[in-house]
Amino acid sequence: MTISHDLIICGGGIAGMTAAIFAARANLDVLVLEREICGGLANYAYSVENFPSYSRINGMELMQKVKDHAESLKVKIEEIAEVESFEFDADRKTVSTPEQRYHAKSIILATGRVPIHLPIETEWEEHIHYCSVCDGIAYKGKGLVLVGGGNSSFDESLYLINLGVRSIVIIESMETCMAEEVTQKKAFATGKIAVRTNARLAAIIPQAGQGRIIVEDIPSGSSEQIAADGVFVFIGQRPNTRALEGKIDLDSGGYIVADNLMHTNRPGVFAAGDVIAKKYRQLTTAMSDGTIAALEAVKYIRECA
Amino acid sequence: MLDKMTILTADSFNGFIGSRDFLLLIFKNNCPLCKVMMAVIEKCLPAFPDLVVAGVNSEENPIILTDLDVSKVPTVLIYKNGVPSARRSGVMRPAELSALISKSQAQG
Repeated sequence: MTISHDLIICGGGIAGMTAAIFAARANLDVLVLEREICGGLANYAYSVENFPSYSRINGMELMQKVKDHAESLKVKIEEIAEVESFEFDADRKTVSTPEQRYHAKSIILATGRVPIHLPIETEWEEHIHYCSVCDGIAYKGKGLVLVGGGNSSFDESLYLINLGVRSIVIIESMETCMAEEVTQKKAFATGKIAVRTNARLAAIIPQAGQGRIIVEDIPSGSSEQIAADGVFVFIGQRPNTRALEGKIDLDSGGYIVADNLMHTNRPGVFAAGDVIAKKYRQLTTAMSDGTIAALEAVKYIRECA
Repeated sequence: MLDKMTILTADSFNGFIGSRDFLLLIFKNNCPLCKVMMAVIEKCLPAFPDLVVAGVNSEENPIILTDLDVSKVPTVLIYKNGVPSARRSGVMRPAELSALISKSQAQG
Protein backbone atom coordinates (compact mmCIF):
# COMPACT_ATOMS: atom_id res chain seq x y z
CA MET A 1 0.00 0.00 0.00
CA THR A 2 1.21 3.51 -0.78
CA ILE A 3 0.40 6.42 1.51
CA SER A 4 -0.09 9.90 0.02
CA HIS A 5 0.62 13.31 1.54
CA ASP A 6 0.76 16.85 0.21
CA LEU A 7 4.37 17.30 1.30
CA ILE A 8 7.01 14.89 2.50
CA ILE A 9 10.04 16.28 4.28
CA CYS A 10 13.01 13.95 4.40
CA GLY A 11 14.99 14.81 7.53
CA GLY A 12 13.90 15.92 10.99
CA GLY A 13 16.68 18.34 11.86
CA ILE A 14 16.11 22.05 12.36
CA ALA A 15 15.73 22.74 8.60
CA GLY A 16 13.18 19.98 8.06
CA MET A 17 11.21 20.74 11.22
CA THR A 18 11.08 24.47 10.43
CA ALA A 19 9.78 23.62 6.96
CA ALA A 20 7.20 21.29 8.55
CA ILE A 21 5.94 24.06 10.86
CA PHE A 22 5.56 26.55 8.01
CA ALA A 23 3.90 24.02 5.68
CA ALA A 24 1.50 22.79 8.36
CA ARG A 25 0.49 26.38 9.09
CA ALA A 26 -0.35 26.68 5.38
CA ASN A 27 -2.77 23.76 5.84
CA LEU A 28 -0.69 21.17 4.02
CA ASP A 29 -0.80 17.54 5.06
CA VAL A 30 2.86 17.08 6.06
CA LEU A 31 4.90 13.97 6.79
CA VAL A 32 8.45 14.10 8.17
CA LEU A 33 10.59 11.00 7.62
CA GLU A 34 13.67 10.90 9.86
CA ARG A 35 16.34 8.19 9.63
CA GLU A 36 17.16 8.40 13.36
CA ILE A 37 15.32 10.64 15.83
CA CYS A 38 14.29 14.21 15.16
CA GLY A 39 16.85 16.84 16.03
CA GLY A 40 19.73 16.21 13.67
CA LEU A 41 23.22 17.31 14.62
CA ALA A 42 21.81 19.77 17.17
CA ASN A 43 21.00 16.76 19.37
CA TYR A 44 24.74 16.27 19.83
CA ALA A 45 25.40 19.80 21.09
CA TYR A 46 25.65 19.83 24.86
CA SER A 47 25.16 23.56 24.87
CA VAL A 48 23.74 25.82 22.14
CA GLU A 49 24.65 29.45 22.80
CA ASN A 50 23.86 31.19 19.50
CA PHE A 51 20.16 30.48 19.13
CA PRO A 52 18.17 33.73 19.45
CA SER A 53 15.83 33.64 22.47
CA TYR A 54 18.03 31.26 24.46
CA SER A 55 21.38 32.47 25.75
CA ARG A 56 22.16 28.83 26.50
CA ILE A 57 20.17 25.64 25.93
CA ASN A 58 20.95 21.94 25.61
CA GLY A 59 20.70 20.83 21.96
CA MET A 60 18.35 17.90 22.62
CA GLU A 61 16.13 20.05 24.81
CA LEU A 62 15.89 22.68 22.07
CA MET A 63 15.06 20.13 19.41
CA GLN A 64 12.43 18.44 21.59
CA LYS A 65 10.71 21.83 21.83
CA VAL A 66 10.84 22.13 18.03
CA LYS A 67 9.38 18.62 17.65
CA ASP A 68 6.62 19.41 20.15
CA HIS A 69 5.81 22.55 18.15
CA ALA A 70 5.54 20.60 14.88
CA GLU A 71 3.41 17.88 16.49
CA SER A 72 1.07 20.50 17.93
CA LEU A 73 0.36 21.50 14.31
CA LYS A 74 -0.54 17.87 13.43
CA VAL A 75 2.64 17.24 11.47
CA LYS A 76 3.06 13.47 11.10
CA ILE A 77 6.52 12.31 12.12
CA GLU A 78 8.04 8.90 11.51
CA GLU A 79 11.40 8.24 13.16
CA ILE A 80 13.82 5.40 12.33
CA ALA A 81 12.50 5.72 8.79
CA GLU A 82 15.40 5.91 6.38
CA VAL A 83 14.45 6.77 2.82
CA GLU A 84 16.21 4.30 0.55
CA SER A 85 14.89 5.38 -2.83
CA PHE A 86 13.47 8.45 -4.51
CA GLU A 87 11.49 8.87 -7.72
CA PHE A 88 10.90 12.43 -8.85
CA ASP A 89 8.25 12.35 -11.60
CA ALA A 90 6.81 15.63 -12.82
CA ASP A 91 3.35 15.09 -11.35
CA ARG A 92 4.17 12.86 -8.39
CA LYS A 93 7.14 12.21 -6.10
CA THR A 94 7.68 8.83 -4.49
CA VAL A 95 9.94 7.89 -1.59
CA SER A 96 10.41 4.45 -0.08
CA THR A 97 11.65 3.29 3.33
CA PRO A 98 12.33 -0.40 4.04
CA GLU A 99 8.75 -0.69 5.33
CA GLN A 100 6.64 1.71 3.30
CA ARG A 101 6.19 3.58 0.04
CA TYR A 102 4.90 7.17 0.06
CA HIS A 103 3.61 9.58 -2.61
CA ALA A 104 3.65 13.37 -2.33
CA LYS A 105 2.92 16.38 -4.48
CA SER A 106 6.17 17.96 -3.36
CA ILE A 107 9.30 16.94 -1.45
CA ILE A 108 11.73 18.85 0.72
CA LEU A 109 15.13 17.23 1.10
CA ALA A 110 16.64 18.13 4.47
CA THR A 111 18.69 15.01 5.09
CA GLY A 112 21.58 16.88 6.68
CA ARG A 113 25.04 15.51 7.25
CA VAL A 114 26.46 12.50 9.02
CA PRO A 115 29.75 12.26 10.95
CA ILE A 116 32.81 10.99 9.13
CA HIS A 117 34.27 7.97 10.89
CA LEU A 118 37.94 7.38 11.65
CA PRO A 119 39.46 5.90 8.49
CA ILE A 120 41.50 3.19 10.21
CA GLU A 121 40.79 -0.37 11.34
CA THR A 122 41.50 -1.17 14.98
CA GLU A 123 40.67 -3.86 17.51
CA TRP A 124 40.24 -1.04 20.05
CA GLU A 125 36.79 -0.14 18.67
CA GLU A 126 35.18 -0.02 22.14
CA HIS A 127 37.32 3.02 22.95
CA ILE A 128 36.67 5.00 19.76
CA HIS A 129 33.88 7.52 20.29
CA TYR A 130 31.96 10.14 18.33
CA CYS A 131 29.80 11.64 21.11
CA SER A 132 31.35 13.12 24.23
CA VAL A 133 27.95 13.72 25.85
CA CYS A 134 27.29 9.97 25.50
CA ASP A 135 30.64 8.50 26.49
CA GLY A 136 32.75 11.21 28.11
CA ILE A 137 31.97 10.41 31.73
CA ALA A 138 33.78 7.05 31.52
CA TYR A 139 37.05 8.95 31.07
CA LYS A 140 37.05 11.00 34.28
CA GLY A 141 40.64 11.15 35.51
CA LYS A 142 41.93 9.61 32.27
CA GLY A 143 43.83 10.76 29.19
CA LEU A 144 42.30 11.13 25.74
CA VAL A 145 43.24 11.82 22.15
CA LEU A 146 40.80 13.91 20.07
CA VAL A 147 41.05 13.76 16.29
CA GLY A 148 40.21 16.99 14.45
CA GLY A 149 41.02 20.63 15.18
CA GLY A 150 37.75 22.32 14.32
CA ASN A 151 35.12 23.96 16.51
CA SER A 152 33.53 20.63 17.47
CA SER A 153 36.79 19.21 18.72
CA PHE A 154 37.67 22.25 20.85
CA ASP A 155 34.11 22.62 22.21
CA GLU A 156 34.02 18.94 23.10
CA SER A 157 37.49 19.05 24.66
CA LEU A 158 36.29 21.80 27.01
CA TYR A 159 33.22 19.71 27.85
CA LEU A 160 35.41 16.67 28.55
CA ILE A 161 37.84 18.64 30.74
CA ASN A 162 34.84 19.94 32.70
CA LEU A 163 33.76 16.32 33.22
CA GLY A 164 37.14 15.66 34.87
CA VAL A 165 39.20 14.24 32.01
CA ARG A 166 42.86 14.51 33.05
CA SER A 167 44.48 15.47 29.74
CA ILE A 168 43.72 15.73 26.03
CA VAL A 169 45.92 15.73 22.94
CA ILE A 170 44.20 17.13 19.83
CA ILE A 171 45.48 15.88 16.48
CA GLU A 172 44.95 18.11 13.44
CA SER A 173 46.15 17.29 9.94
CA MET A 174 46.35 20.91 8.77
CA GLU A 175 49.03 23.46 9.68
CA THR A 176 46.70 25.23 12.11
CA CYS A 177 43.51 24.38 13.94
CA MET A 178 40.39 25.88 12.38
CA ALA A 179 38.44 26.32 15.63
CA GLU A 180 37.44 29.84 16.64
CA GLU A 181 40.28 31.66 18.37
CA VAL A 182 38.22 32.40 21.46
CA THR A 183 37.47 28.69 21.95
CA GLN A 184 41.10 27.71 21.40
CA LYS A 185 42.19 30.25 24.00
CA LYS A 186 39.69 28.87 26.51
CA ALA A 187 40.94 25.35 25.83
CA PHE A 188 44.62 26.17 26.22
CA ALA A 189 43.89 28.16 29.39
CA THR A 190 42.90 24.90 31.09
CA GLY A 191 46.54 23.76 30.87
CA LYS A 192 45.26 20.27 30.09
CA ILE A 193 44.98 20.40 26.30
CA ALA A 194 47.87 20.01 23.87
CA VAL A 195 47.76 20.08 20.06
CA ARG A 196 49.72 18.31 17.35
CA THR A 197 49.21 20.03 13.99
CA ASN A 198 50.42 18.72 10.64
CA ALA A 199 49.80 15.30 12.14
CA ARG A 200 47.60 12.30 11.49
CA LEU A 201 46.48 9.34 13.53
CA ALA A 202 48.23 6.44 11.76
CA ALA A 203 47.34 3.48 13.99
CA ILE A 204 45.99 2.42 17.37
CA ILE A 205 47.58 -0.51 19.15
CA PRO A 206 45.77 -1.85 22.23
CA GLN A 207 48.18 -2.49 25.08
CA ALA A 208 47.44 -3.33 28.71
CA GLY A 209 44.02 -1.65 28.80
CA GLN A 210 45.27 1.47 27.10
CA GLY A 211 45.80 2.40 23.46
CA ARG A 212 49.15 3.28 21.98
CA ILE A 213 48.18 6.01 19.55
CA ILE A 214 50.65 6.27 16.70
CA VAL A 215 50.72 9.86 15.48
CA GLU A 216 52.59 10.62 12.28
CA ASP A 217 54.13 14.02 11.64
CA ILE A 218 52.98 14.57 8.04
CA PRO A 219 55.90 16.70 6.71
CA SER A 220 58.70 14.54 8.14
CA GLY A 221 56.99 11.14 8.29
CA SER A 222 58.34 10.58 11.79
CA SER A 223 56.07 8.97 14.40
CA GLU A 224 55.20 9.67 18.01
CA GLN A 225 53.42 7.31 20.40
CA ILE A 226 50.83 8.69 22.81
CA ALA A 227 49.30 6.50 25.51
CA ALA A 228 45.57 7.18 25.84
CA ASP A 229 42.53 5.63 27.48
CA GLY A 230 40.20 6.60 24.63
CA VAL A 231 39.90 8.41 21.32
CA PHE A 232 37.14 10.84 20.35
CA VAL A 233 36.73 11.66 16.67
CA PHE A 234 35.48 15.00 15.34
CA ILE A 235 36.71 15.14 11.74
CA GLY A 236 33.64 16.65 10.20
CA GLN A 237 30.57 15.46 8.37
CA ARG A 238 29.59 14.39 4.89
CA PRO A 239 26.26 15.18 3.21
CA ASN A 240 23.67 12.44 3.60
CA THR A 241 22.89 12.17 -0.10
CA ARG A 242 23.99 8.69 -1.18
CA ALA A 243 20.40 7.64 -1.97
CA LEU A 244 20.05 10.78 -4.11
CA GLU A 245 23.00 10.12 -6.41
CA GLY A 246 21.81 10.19 -10.02
CA LYS A 247 18.38 11.47 -8.96
CA ILE A 248 19.20 15.13 -8.43
CA ASP A 249 22.05 17.55 -9.11
CA LEU A 250 24.81 17.26 -6.50
CA ASP A 251 28.08 19.18 -6.39
CA SER A 252 31.50 17.50 -6.32
CA GLY A 253 31.29 17.19 -2.52
CA GLY A 254 27.92 15.42 -2.71
CA TYR A 255 25.90 18.44 -1.54
CA ILE A 256 22.56 19.23 -3.21
CA VAL A 257 22.69 22.14 -5.63
CA ALA A 258 19.81 24.51 -4.82
CA ASP A 259 19.11 28.10 -5.83
CA ASN A 260 18.34 30.91 -3.40
CA LEU A 261 14.67 29.83 -3.31
CA MET A 262 15.75 26.29 -2.40
CA HIS A 263 14.69 24.88 -5.77
CA THR A 264 16.67 21.87 -6.99
CA ASN A 265 16.89 20.92 -10.66
CA ARG A 266 13.72 18.79 -10.28
CA PRO A 267 10.36 20.62 -10.28
CA GLY A 268 8.60 20.35 -6.93
CA VAL A 269 11.70 19.07 -5.17
CA PHE A 270 13.24 21.54 -2.74
CA ALA A 271 16.23 21.27 -0.41
CA ALA A 272 17.16 22.91 2.89
CA GLY A 273 19.76 22.92 5.62
CA ASP A 274 23.21 21.40 5.89
CA VAL A 275 22.65 19.11 2.91
CA ILE A 276 22.75 21.93 0.36
CA ALA A 277 25.91 23.43 -1.09
CA LYS A 278 26.50 26.66 0.84
CA LYS A 279 29.06 28.47 2.94
CA TYR A 280 27.51 28.84 6.40
CA ARG A 281 25.91 25.93 8.25
CA GLN A 282 24.26 27.11 11.44
CA LEU A 283 20.92 26.37 13.11
CA THR A 284 19.73 29.81 12.08
CA THR A 285 20.74 29.48 8.42
CA ALA A 286 19.09 26.05 8.28
CA MET A 287 15.89 27.56 9.67
CA SER A 288 15.99 30.20 6.94
CA ASP A 289 16.42 27.49 4.29
CA GLY A 290 13.55 25.47 5.77
CA THR A 291 11.26 28.48 5.80
CA ILE A 292 11.95 29.34 2.17
CA ALA A 293 11.67 25.71 1.03
CA ALA A 294 8.29 25.34 2.74
CA LEU A 295 6.89 28.55 1.29
CA GLU A 296 8.06 27.57 -2.19
CA ALA A 297 6.60 24.06 -1.79
CA VAL A 298 3.25 25.56 -0.78
CA LYS A 299 3.37 27.84 -3.84
CA TYR A 300 4.28 24.90 -6.11
CA ILE A 301 1.46 22.71 -4.79
CA ARG A 302 -1.13 25.51 -5.12
CA GLU A 303 0.00 26.30 -8.69
CA CYS A 304 -0.23 22.64 -9.68
CA ALA A 305 -3.71 22.20 -8.20
CA MET B 1 12.07 6.25 27.38
CA LEU B 2 10.64 2.94 26.12
CA ASP B 3 7.29 2.10 27.71
CA LYS B 4 8.07 -1.60 27.75
CA MET B 5 11.54 -1.31 29.31
CA THR B 6 12.10 -2.48 32.89
CA ILE B 7 14.68 -0.24 34.52
CA LEU B 8 17.24 -2.19 36.54
CA THR B 9 19.58 -0.94 39.24
CA ALA B 10 22.64 -2.43 40.91
CA ASP B 11 20.30 -3.81 43.60
CA SER B 12 17.78 -5.40 41.25
CA PHE B 13 20.08 -6.49 38.43
CA ASN B 14 21.16 -9.98 39.53
CA GLY B 15 17.70 -10.90 40.82
CA PHE B 16 16.15 -9.93 37.49
CA ILE B 17 18.54 -11.93 35.32
CA GLY B 18 17.89 -15.39 36.79
CA SER B 19 17.67 -17.70 33.80
CA ARG B 20 15.74 -15.23 31.72
CA ASP B 21 15.93 -14.47 27.98
CA PHE B 22 15.90 -10.71 27.48
CA LEU B 23 17.41 -7.68 25.77
CA LEU B 24 19.43 -5.33 27.95
CA LEU B 25 20.09 -1.74 26.88
CA ILE B 26 22.85 0.17 28.69
CA PHE B 27 22.03 3.85 28.23
CA LYS B 28 22.62 7.30 29.63
CA ASN B 29 20.21 10.20 30.03
CA ASN B 30 20.74 13.04 27.53
CA CYS B 31 22.62 10.69 25.19
CA PRO B 32 21.30 11.20 21.65
CA LEU B 33 22.60 7.85 20.39
CA CYS B 34 20.83 6.09 23.29
CA LYS B 35 17.57 7.77 22.31
CA VAL B 36 18.10 6.59 18.74
CA MET B 37 18.70 3.05 19.98
CA MET B 38 15.54 3.16 22.11
CA ALA B 39 13.59 4.17 19.00
CA VAL B 40 15.21 1.33 17.04
CA ILE B 41 14.23 -1.19 19.75
CA GLU B 42 10.68 0.16 19.74
CA LYS B 43 10.52 -0.26 15.97
CA CYS B 44 11.65 -3.89 16.23
CA LEU B 45 9.32 -4.88 19.09
CA PRO B 46 6.26 -5.79 16.97
CA ALA B 47 8.32 -8.55 15.33
CA PHE B 48 9.30 -9.95 18.76
CA PRO B 49 6.15 -9.58 20.87
CA ASP B 50 7.46 -11.79 23.68
CA LEU B 51 10.81 -10.05 23.96
CA VAL B 52 11.56 -8.77 27.45
CA VAL B 53 13.44 -5.45 27.42
CA ALA B 54 15.44 -4.14 30.36
CA GLY B 55 17.58 -1.04 30.73
CA VAL B 56 20.41 0.14 32.94
CA ASN B 57 21.23 3.82 33.38
CA SER B 58 25.00 3.87 33.11
CA GLU B 59 25.48 6.99 35.20
CA GLU B 60 23.45 5.73 38.12
CA ASN B 61 24.87 2.19 38.05
CA PRO B 62 28.57 2.34 37.15
CA ILE B 63 29.20 -0.95 38.99
CA ILE B 64 27.09 -2.83 36.43
CA LEU B 65 29.15 -1.33 33.60
CA THR B 66 32.34 -2.44 35.29
CA ASP B 67 30.96 -5.96 35.84
CA LEU B 68 29.88 -6.20 32.19
CA ASP B 69 33.04 -4.45 30.89
CA VAL B 70 31.00 -1.84 29.03
CA SER B 71 32.68 1.51 28.22
CA LYS B 72 30.36 2.82 25.54
CA VAL B 73 26.68 3.66 25.35
CA PRO B 74 24.35 2.62 23.91
CA THR B 75 25.32 -1.02 24.34
CA VAL B 76 22.84 -3.84 23.73
CA LEU B 77 23.29 -7.27 25.29
CA ILE B 78 21.04 -10.20 24.43
CA TYR B 79 20.70 -12.64 27.33
CA LYS B 80 19.87 -16.29 26.71
CA ASN B 81 19.09 -18.40 29.80
CA GLY B 82 20.50 -15.63 31.99
CA VAL B 83 23.81 -15.44 30.11
CA PRO B 84 24.85 -12.77 27.58
CA SER B 85 24.90 -14.46 24.17
CA ALA B 86 25.44 -11.38 22.02
CA ARG B 87 26.45 -7.76 22.51
CA ARG B 88 26.88 -4.71 20.31
CA SER B 89 27.89 -1.13 21.08
CA GLY B 90 26.72 1.88 19.13
CA VAL B 91 23.61 2.48 17.08
CA MET B 92 22.24 -0.37 14.97
CA ARG B 93 19.73 -0.17 12.17
CA PRO B 94 16.45 -2.02 12.82
CA ALA B 95 17.46 -4.83 10.45
CA GLU B 96 20.74 -5.31 12.33
CA LEU B 97 19.05 -5.47 15.72
CA SER B 98 16.38 -7.86 14.43
CA ALA B 99 19.08 -10.14 13.04
CA LEU B 100 20.96 -10.06 16.37
CA ILE B 101 17.81 -10.95 18.33
CA SER B 102 16.79 -13.68 15.86
CA LYS B 103 20.26 -15.23 15.91
CA SER B 104 20.33 -15.24 19.69
CA GLN B 105 16.84 -16.74 19.93
CA ALA B 106 17.78 -19.47 17.45
CA GLN B 107 20.68 -20.61 19.64
CA GLY B 108 19.90 -23.70 21.68
